[in-house]
Amino acid sequence: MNANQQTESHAHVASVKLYVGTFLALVLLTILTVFVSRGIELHAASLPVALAVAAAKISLVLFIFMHVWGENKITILVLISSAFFIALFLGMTIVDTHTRGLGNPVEADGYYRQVNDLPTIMDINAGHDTEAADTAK
Amino acid sequence: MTAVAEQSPEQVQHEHHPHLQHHFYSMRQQYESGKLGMWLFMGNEFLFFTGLFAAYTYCRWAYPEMWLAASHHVDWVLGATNTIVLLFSSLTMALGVRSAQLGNNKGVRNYMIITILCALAFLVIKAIEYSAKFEHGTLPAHFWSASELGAQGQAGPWIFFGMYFLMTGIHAIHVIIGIGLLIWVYLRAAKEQFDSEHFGLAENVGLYWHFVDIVWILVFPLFYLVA
Repeated sequence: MNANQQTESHAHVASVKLYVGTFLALVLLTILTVFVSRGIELHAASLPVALAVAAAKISLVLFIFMHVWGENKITILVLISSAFFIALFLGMTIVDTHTRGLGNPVEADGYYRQVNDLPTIMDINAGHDTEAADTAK
Repeated sequence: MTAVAEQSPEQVQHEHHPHLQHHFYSMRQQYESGKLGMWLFMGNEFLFFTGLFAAYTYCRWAYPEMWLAASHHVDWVLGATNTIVLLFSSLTMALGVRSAQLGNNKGVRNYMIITILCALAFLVIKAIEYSAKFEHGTLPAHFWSASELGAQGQAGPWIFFGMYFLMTGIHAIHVIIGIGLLIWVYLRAAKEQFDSEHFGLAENVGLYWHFVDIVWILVFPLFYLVA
């Protein structure tokens, strides 16, 4: 930023070509994300791939449509601190829910079984689990 | 002190701009202040939606099979159509802001009309989707009446549809508020108020509209494309 710029208009006018190109890239990425989930089998990788494509689309919108590219420092600071708090919020929630009871192996196993609708140790002891009963024979 | 000294020639230069509020030195400062406020608000909005995404993360992690089965009852073709509609409206919004930056008020009006039509198209497609859900009874919690997909219990597809209606519904409310803001920009353009120094309103409404687009970019794969 210099004094000459200040006296002129403060608009950073981007070209129509750039905006249309961004839109076309966003449409291509949308087609890609549909193809990845509906056209091919990615199994466990499908969610990370879908999120990566979404992140690419969001970056295009942020940097070009929302003019974050070449934005002043205070706006970048607001954006980075938002990202930090989003990461904190999501991260702490995931750390909590995904590790509940891990300090106690029995409790952890019980929680895992309950959540995934598997027979618990009490079911097995009571002989309700037919598979366990068959193996016993 | 030096800052004031630097600003003063500019102040003299811009003193006669009809839209410079008396508490700002210059049109640039006025524009930057407004935009900073908008970005702070957007930070709040991002965190507000993060709460919903955190709830989504937990529900999907806790019931992965149910989540996958339930997601087959939302129409990804309608979801994909809405994605394209919203992306296109983001393009016309960006071009509208560009017109405002260039002081082309007629361009702003035209782009706002196209953007508003896209927003309405989005809501119509959303309404078609919702009415199918009401018809089939795939509704949240105790409104659930799709008995062929399972009777109500502890962890069934009603949880998926609870999150679906919550997140797409709050997003749709943002779209409706957005239409009001787009009309505001249109009315300002009708009064020929935008010029190369005075386009903060268009820029800030543009930021909001692109934010609505960003939320949909995340909602689309998370609800319509579970694999």
